[in-house]
Amino acid sequence: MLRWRVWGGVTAALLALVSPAHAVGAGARGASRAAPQAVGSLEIYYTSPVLARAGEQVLMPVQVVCARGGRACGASVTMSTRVGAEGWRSVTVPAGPDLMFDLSAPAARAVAGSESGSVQFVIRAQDEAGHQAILPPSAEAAPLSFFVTRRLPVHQIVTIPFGRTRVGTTVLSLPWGSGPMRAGLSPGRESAPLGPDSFDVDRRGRIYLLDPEQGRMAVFASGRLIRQTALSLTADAQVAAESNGVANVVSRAGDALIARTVDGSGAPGNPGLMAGATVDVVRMVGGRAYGLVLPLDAWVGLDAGSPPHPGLPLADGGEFLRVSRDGRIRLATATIDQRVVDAIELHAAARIGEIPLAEPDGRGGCWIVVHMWREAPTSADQYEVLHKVGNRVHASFAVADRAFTDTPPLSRFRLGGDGALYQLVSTDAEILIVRFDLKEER
Amino acid sequence: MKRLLGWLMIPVLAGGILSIAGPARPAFASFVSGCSVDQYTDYNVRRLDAQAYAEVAIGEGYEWGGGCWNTNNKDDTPGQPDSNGEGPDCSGLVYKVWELRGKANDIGFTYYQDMQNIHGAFTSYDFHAPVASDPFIAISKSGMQYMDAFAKNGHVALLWTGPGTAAGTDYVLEAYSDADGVIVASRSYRTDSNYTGVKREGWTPDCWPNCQGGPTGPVTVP
Repeated sequence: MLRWRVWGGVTAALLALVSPAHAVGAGARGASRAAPQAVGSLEIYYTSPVLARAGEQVLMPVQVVCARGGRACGASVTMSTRVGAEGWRSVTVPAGPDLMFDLSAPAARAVAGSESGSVQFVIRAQDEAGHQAILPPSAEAAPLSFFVTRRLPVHQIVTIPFGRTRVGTTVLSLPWGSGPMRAGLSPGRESAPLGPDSFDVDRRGRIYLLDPEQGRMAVFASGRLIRQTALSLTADAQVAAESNGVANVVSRAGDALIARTVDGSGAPGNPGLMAGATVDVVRMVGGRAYGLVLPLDAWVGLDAGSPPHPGLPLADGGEFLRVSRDGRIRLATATIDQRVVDAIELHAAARIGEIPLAEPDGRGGCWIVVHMWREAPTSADQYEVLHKVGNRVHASFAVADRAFTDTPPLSRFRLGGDGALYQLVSTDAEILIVRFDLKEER
Repeated sequence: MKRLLGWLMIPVLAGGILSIAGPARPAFASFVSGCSVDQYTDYNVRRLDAQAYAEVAIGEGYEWGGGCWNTNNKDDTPGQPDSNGEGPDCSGLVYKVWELRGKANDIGFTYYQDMQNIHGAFTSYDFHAPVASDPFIAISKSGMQYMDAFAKNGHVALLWTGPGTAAGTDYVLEAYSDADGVIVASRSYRTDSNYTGVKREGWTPDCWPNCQGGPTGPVTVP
């Protein structure tokens, strides 16, 4: 690294585009004029509690990557929290790989006299040379937050035996190769095997596919290509489709993210820079596109001016909370007035991994796809599809993990605008979009 | 024998087609002609050190069989035919980041400068299925620490941090592809049964050289 890479200093990075001199002072990326002694980086990574149970110990691991000239450097971390209208309280400690903050005290204050509440927080890192990184970049003006609730009933997931999976209906099949009805493949030789890395399905069942190897976004209807747009796409590019045929595409550009729309005729709009270093997924909510950006690990609007949300924003102003941690899943809805409702904690006999999909069903419930896995007696993994209504889980079936290419983890499933669940499957011969009809589960 | 064959296959396969899709590529001057030999024996390698070393590679290029990169935060040879361009492949990156021994009988570990062009003797398959003589061992993926690795036959990636995302994925550092170079990304290799966990042997504790204090507990936030 010749430049300071300050993940978490995204505001500073944005400033760098218009004011490089300011950026150097702020220790931001993009500071190509940085003095040679400033070679290095300062990055903050953390795992948010998202949803804590009142009375439990609330722990947040924070790891700072501090490097200068390829050598580890010392840094400090400041955790600042606020509950309600009280003032900000901070604690500063040396950074270390095992650093863990205990947020039990502010969590307890958040539910003092109420069923639920929230804790706002800001994380700062500073190295020995005075460079700073901040999560979120907006700091106390628009902080991160997590919720606390007294009502968090536990539900045991029915663990479906590995291999007992449902076979869906293939709605699109593209052999590997070059051309309109093929999908580009980088087969991976001492690298990740790569193919299309994101898709979405609109209300009419049209499939929007990002095909980085062929530099395009392609739209398919009834198994046929109806249009395509040339786009330069990098690793982990993401797409979300609106019902009017407009697609929102986010891709990396160096250490930053570029968001752009593609209209219903296939014409791309002007690109815009957005906060974050990586986008895990992009979704449409009420006609607005939101991205789950990392390492912020929060949802932000692709248009500027959106505060970070710990949950997927909902059309009514609330947000849908989900977190997978320590072998359990927590789900809930946070209302616009910051109350937590319909909270549930899911346990399973098998190991619970990531949550590739968790989205409202449009009828007051939500669909969740959970990755289950084991290492013994033999390695196995599959996805389990769950339907949550209120604080009950009503339906469950399993789907095989069929991934020849290393599709990004939150890009493998989509809840289509038509109400069906879709999976991006890849084999050594082709990619498939497979549909699972959810109607019988409702 | 399998390892030897795997290694010998790399230059053979290098002449093949990397991407089924994609335009013809122009000719390039060799990046590796500017690489050097600059290494020394290292007796204490902490995970912290490995992470800081790996951080330099982020944003640099990727080359199959490669192992030489500079520090300008860009791929200097985009689209370069394999093995003459800038950057490591996935197993070459792990080899240098872990400072693995050059030979089985070496004492200590070997620090290679980023501009030294060396891939090392191990392929992703070797990391995926270690044998007794290897300087790394298989571990459970549920107990991994940062700078351990996820490996399958064809790809290997380093667990970048202890904290993962709220969705349950891990941050990994990987030499990802010719198009993307070396990146940090959110991945689910932990839950993917194609991947195994692997740990380098002989880490020096992160607290070194001042390990008297012992582990500390969580920091209480008021």
